[in-house]
Amino acid sequence: MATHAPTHGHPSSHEIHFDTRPLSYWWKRCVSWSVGSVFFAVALVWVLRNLFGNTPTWDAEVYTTAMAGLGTIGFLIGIGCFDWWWNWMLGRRVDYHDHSMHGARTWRDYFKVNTDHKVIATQYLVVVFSFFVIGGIFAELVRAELATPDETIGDAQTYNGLFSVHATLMIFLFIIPAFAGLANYVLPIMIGAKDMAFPRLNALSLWMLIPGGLMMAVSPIFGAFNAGWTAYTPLAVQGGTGATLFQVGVQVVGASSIATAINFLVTIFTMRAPGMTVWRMPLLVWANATTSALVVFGTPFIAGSQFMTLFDRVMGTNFFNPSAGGDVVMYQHVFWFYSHPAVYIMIIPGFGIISEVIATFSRKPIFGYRAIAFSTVAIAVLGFGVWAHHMFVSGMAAWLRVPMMITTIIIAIPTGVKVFSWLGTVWNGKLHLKTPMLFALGFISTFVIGGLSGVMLGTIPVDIQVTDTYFVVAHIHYVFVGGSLFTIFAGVYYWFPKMTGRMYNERLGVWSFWFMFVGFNLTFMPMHWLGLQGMPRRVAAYDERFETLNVFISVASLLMTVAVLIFFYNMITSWHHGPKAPWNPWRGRTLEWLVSSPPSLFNFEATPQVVGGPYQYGVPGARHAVVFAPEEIGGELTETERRTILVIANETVASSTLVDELRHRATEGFWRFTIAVPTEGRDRDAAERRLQVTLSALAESGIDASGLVVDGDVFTAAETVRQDEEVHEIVLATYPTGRSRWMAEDVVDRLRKATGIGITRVVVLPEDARRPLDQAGVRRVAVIARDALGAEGLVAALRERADREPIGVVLLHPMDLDGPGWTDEAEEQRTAAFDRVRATIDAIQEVGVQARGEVLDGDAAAAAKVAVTAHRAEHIVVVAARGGALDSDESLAAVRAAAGAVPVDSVVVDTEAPASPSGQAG
Amino acid sequence: MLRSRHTLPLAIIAIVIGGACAATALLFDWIPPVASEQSDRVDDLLWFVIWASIGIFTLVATVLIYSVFRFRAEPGDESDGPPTHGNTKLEIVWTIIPALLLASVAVWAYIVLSDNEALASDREVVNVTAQQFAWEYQYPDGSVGTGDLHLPVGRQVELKMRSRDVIHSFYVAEFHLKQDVVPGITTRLIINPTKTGTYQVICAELCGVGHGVMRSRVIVQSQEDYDAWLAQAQQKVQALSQQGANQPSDATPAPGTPGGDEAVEGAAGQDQGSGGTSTDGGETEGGE
Amino acid sequence: MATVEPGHGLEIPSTATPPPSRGAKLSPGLLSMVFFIGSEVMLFGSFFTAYFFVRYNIADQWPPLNQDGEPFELPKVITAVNTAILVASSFTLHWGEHRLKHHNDRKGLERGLWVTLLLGGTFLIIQINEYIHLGFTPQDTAFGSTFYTLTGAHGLHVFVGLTILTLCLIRVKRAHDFNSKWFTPLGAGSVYWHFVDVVWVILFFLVYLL
Repeated sequence: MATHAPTHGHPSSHEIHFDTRPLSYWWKRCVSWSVGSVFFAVALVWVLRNLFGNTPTWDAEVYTTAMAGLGTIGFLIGIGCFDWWWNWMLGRRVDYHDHSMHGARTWRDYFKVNTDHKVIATQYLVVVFSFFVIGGIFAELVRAELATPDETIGDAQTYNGLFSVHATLMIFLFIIPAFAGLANYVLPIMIGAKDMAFPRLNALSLWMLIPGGLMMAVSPIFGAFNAGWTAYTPLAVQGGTGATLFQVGVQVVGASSIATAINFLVTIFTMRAPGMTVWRMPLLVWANATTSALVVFGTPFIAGSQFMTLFDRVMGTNFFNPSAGGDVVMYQHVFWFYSHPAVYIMIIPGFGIISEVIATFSRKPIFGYRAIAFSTVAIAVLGFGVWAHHMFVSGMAAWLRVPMMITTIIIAIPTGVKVFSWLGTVWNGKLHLKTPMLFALGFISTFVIGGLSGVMLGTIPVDIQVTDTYFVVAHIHYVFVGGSLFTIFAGVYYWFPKMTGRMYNERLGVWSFWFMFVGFNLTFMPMHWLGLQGMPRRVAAYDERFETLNVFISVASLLMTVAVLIFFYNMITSWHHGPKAPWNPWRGRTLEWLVSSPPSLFNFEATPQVVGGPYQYGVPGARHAVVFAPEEIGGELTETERRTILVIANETVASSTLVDELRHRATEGFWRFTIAVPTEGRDRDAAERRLQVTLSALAESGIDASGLVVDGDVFTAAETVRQDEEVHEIVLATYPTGRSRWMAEDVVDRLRKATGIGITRVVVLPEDARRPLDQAGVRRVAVIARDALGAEGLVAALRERADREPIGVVLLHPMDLDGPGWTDEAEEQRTAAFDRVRATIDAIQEVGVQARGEVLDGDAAAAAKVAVTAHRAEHIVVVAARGGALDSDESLAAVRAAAGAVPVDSVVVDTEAPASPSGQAG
Repeated sequence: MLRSRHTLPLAIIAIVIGGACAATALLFDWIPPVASEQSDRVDDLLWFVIWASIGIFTLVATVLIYSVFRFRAEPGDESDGPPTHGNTKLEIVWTIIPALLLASVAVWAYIVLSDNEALASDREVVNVTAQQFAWEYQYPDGSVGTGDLHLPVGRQVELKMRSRDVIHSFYVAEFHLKQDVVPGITTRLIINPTKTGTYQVICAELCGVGHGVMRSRVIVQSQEDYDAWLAQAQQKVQALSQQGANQPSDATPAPGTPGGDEAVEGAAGQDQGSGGTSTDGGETEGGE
Repeated sequence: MATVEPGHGLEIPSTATPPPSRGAKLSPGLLSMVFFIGSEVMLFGSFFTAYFFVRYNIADQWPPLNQDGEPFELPKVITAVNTAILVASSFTLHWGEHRLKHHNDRKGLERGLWVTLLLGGTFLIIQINEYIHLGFTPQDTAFGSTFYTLTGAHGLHVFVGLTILTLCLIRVKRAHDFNSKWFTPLGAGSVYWHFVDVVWVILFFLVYLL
């Protein structure tokens, strides 16, 4: 198709008819469909078994399989995942732009099918963290069992069920879907899309997790799913009803995984905003594209392996029965052909999150962007060629071992490249150790350990020694907890403000990190020793010599529980009543930070235009994307759709830092700025002069800004502005903490509470606040003066000048030193000159004029030259004390000559009396 | 610039971290007692990998810790860092050096593997049968030691292992060796015991309820003790067989290995293909 | 595949989703089907892996012997005929699609779909009939297990393919859907159908003939 109007289907141009059926309707329907289909399954199997004469009629496994399978489908139909498709299938008229289930307006909308990727992502995270809690409880039960060398809290059967379900839940229902959930939220926004490519499929993926996960979570009750998450045959074939539930559950969750992955791939392939070339994609997008490819092409293998096991169990086939021509080792080949790539499925999205977090909190472009992107793809491709390194002792074909070792070892190289690239990013950056960054840095250190023990396990002779021991347990936890879990935490903290529109509690976040980090290392580091010493994994009873250390580990694991509790407390309370988050609390550069927190119903008001790379920190003028800029959308947005940022600043208002920040914001979106300067009982005129400078600077840049001076404090200023217009965000410019009175009075937090609006704080250094604005719209005036500097008249003259047009002042103090410049006398003169300049700058600043100063060795003409060349002065004023060195025609002529085209004024003041302009020469 | 400002603090941190890691590696008794030729070789390799790992970890941790302290932004400093996008030379270096290190690990591992599995002509062959949840050892001349595996010191032994039900794994920590015992195929394990003593045999592959207690002993004896024990055991077996021969000989693999096995050995002796597996005719016995 | 996604026309339905932010060159519907087929290929791959392991790693001879000591036998001739039927159905579907795409002939598409459904249904019936008369079951050694799993999985895919095509037919008849500019669901369904055919040809070669 040739053209696509960018506003095509612009959702706000539609009427959106929201579905009005209440929550109870959906859940009643869901329960009746689920129960009904379970009964239907029983009846169907009963009829079929009687029909074909299968004996016995009541075979628990067959019924369980049918009930679980059909029950899942019933659940999905009942909750409404198929409603739209059902109409389509029946040939009814369907609205292809049906947004009736899109977006959440109340909390109730989170408990039913929704097609908004943001709602789905939230649902995802809540669901997976629920399973995380269940899996975590199982983990602590495992540690309780292992606190003594004998079987304590249950028999071996119970224990086998505990760790099997722990692993299954953590892998299939926490790590994999947690990454899918996080990416669901940010990935479409990051590429500038309004939603995923298939919102209804997206919802289906989510809802499939629930029955699939429940099957796995309840399997211990039904007993005997005890073959570990790897479910090796023939042991898995021996299992009971619990094993059947596991095998069906894996299919359901796997289907969910594949559906999500296809959705991500198609979204990334077809929904990128204009200008979003592959080399401009944030690394999280790269990571998820790669992971999705792994899921799409890998997951069918675990499906195959579990189908075959299920057939062996339920139908009596002979895939893994050696006495009837079956092949036991084949299971492991098929299983690991998925499950090794699955390891990368569980870590590569984490790499993506870490890349985002590290770049943002180091304020540096990611080091070796392409190297990271390529290494991600390399890991994924190689990941399909290493599966048999899990099988060095399995009795597989011996020749396969060395090639698998080589591929395994090769895969360590791209992984190392990533780690080194992150270090390169951190190096020389400006590190902000917020909670996400702490988790990211913690991740790097622990993941390196996990990677190195992975190399040890890839080395065949070492693997033969330590495989199936606690060394492997340590390794996988260093990769999955120190790796995946840390990145999930980093991601959740990082995007929490974006998702909820509120800030989490930083202090609690830091606490949760340290509990997690310390507890994690104390728990899993000793397991390396246990493994080397020969403690096998998956045993409820172990040799007594390992007791002390196991007790230690069990106790240490409680620290992680504390960390998780802090995390949940923080998340829940902050979500409920945390301070309002600004659009971009971290100064992130990717697209999700350029939209509101939380984003609007369809993320963007108009199609964003991507114009540069995603991590251009420190590159002057660089930007990643333009969000809803008027010219991009053909001027379709009306004036009323502009959003207002309220800027509050006092002495810092005319600083280049603030003006640059506002310019930057203006390039990112369709903003209007209202600048309010609270006088706080001081000189109103000074405030007005400063404001004038800023406004004219912004006007020169074509930025829509207005301003007002408010008599009163910050709060009065905010209130005054909010009476007139709706404010979407507040930018507060202050001096650095420690030097700022506002910060000492905790103004940011109080203002946030008072207004309920997100606040971005811009920190302005004092030097910067008084520097003349080096920008268009402000007239740069150089003042050349010596003894006249201290005079009243100078300040008055400048104030008068500033009332006419915004000016920035450079004070130049020439010193015509007689004799050598290094004598004590010369030094004293210089010091005196500096003091004069400083005092004058303060005096000028006081009246609201920007100024800086300089003392030069040389005469007035030399000063004029410096004014023109170094300071690009547009106007030179020579202020001479009456009868002083500058008060002479020769001197003035020399200055004129040096100034060239720049106009020169001369002012003569009495050093004692007020200034009296003595007329202009020429 | 890098030389002048950062070198000294980096070096100090590196020494502290590297020292701590090295102390942890040296002060704790990481490796179980060594009791076979194989374990000696594996040990050397393992230590090589450990030291290389300590080096890499020290590097990463040093840079990380130094960066956290040195490059931490002042409170309120919202400026950006320098726009460094990469450094091709550096990136090539940190790709190649690990690659070389890993290549040497791979080569060494390959050598260790083939040495460990090299077959001696005078080796003792013991048949091992695993089942839920017990080990059973059968000697070439028909004597069965149900409980413990007796081995002569200083002589190579080849374990030919089969399973009656699910996968088990024969693991002796002191030998640094492990091999799965898989139903349907015969797997093998080569051990050269070097130290007399009694060690624990552990099942390392989850095999069901009794997995944790599926242990037995391996007793490494001097050749004389071994011979004496063997003779005694044989007498016992003869006495038993005279009693009524309820020995289920059809369930345990026949002591005289089938011809097919010999053929595999002959081929296997030539290269590293001596590995873990040989699928001989034995596994069809279950179907008979 | 020259499937075209609708722009923003009013009379032709566009994608069911918020539209791509840029002029997408790839149709999301078709692309998703391609990925899905990739996934399906891997599923069959896992079953074929099992088949080859059992056949070349374990079995002494292939096909193995049954209880009577005779090798299992597969009906090659009738299956060859059945293969021809299935392959033919691919062409009839293509013809129907061609009529729609190049002549905007919805009636032609309808005919093509009917014939395809008929041929596909015939294939399934013959296959079920074959199951009944094979003389061995999935429980008869790993040979029976792999054979039934492979052909059964394929049969299921034929069924799914027929369902998709039936739905397309319903859309054509009842909703007067699809025209020469927009036919993504049909395009995706037909790609799936061709895939099912190709799998069968490979399966026939590897399982029956090889």
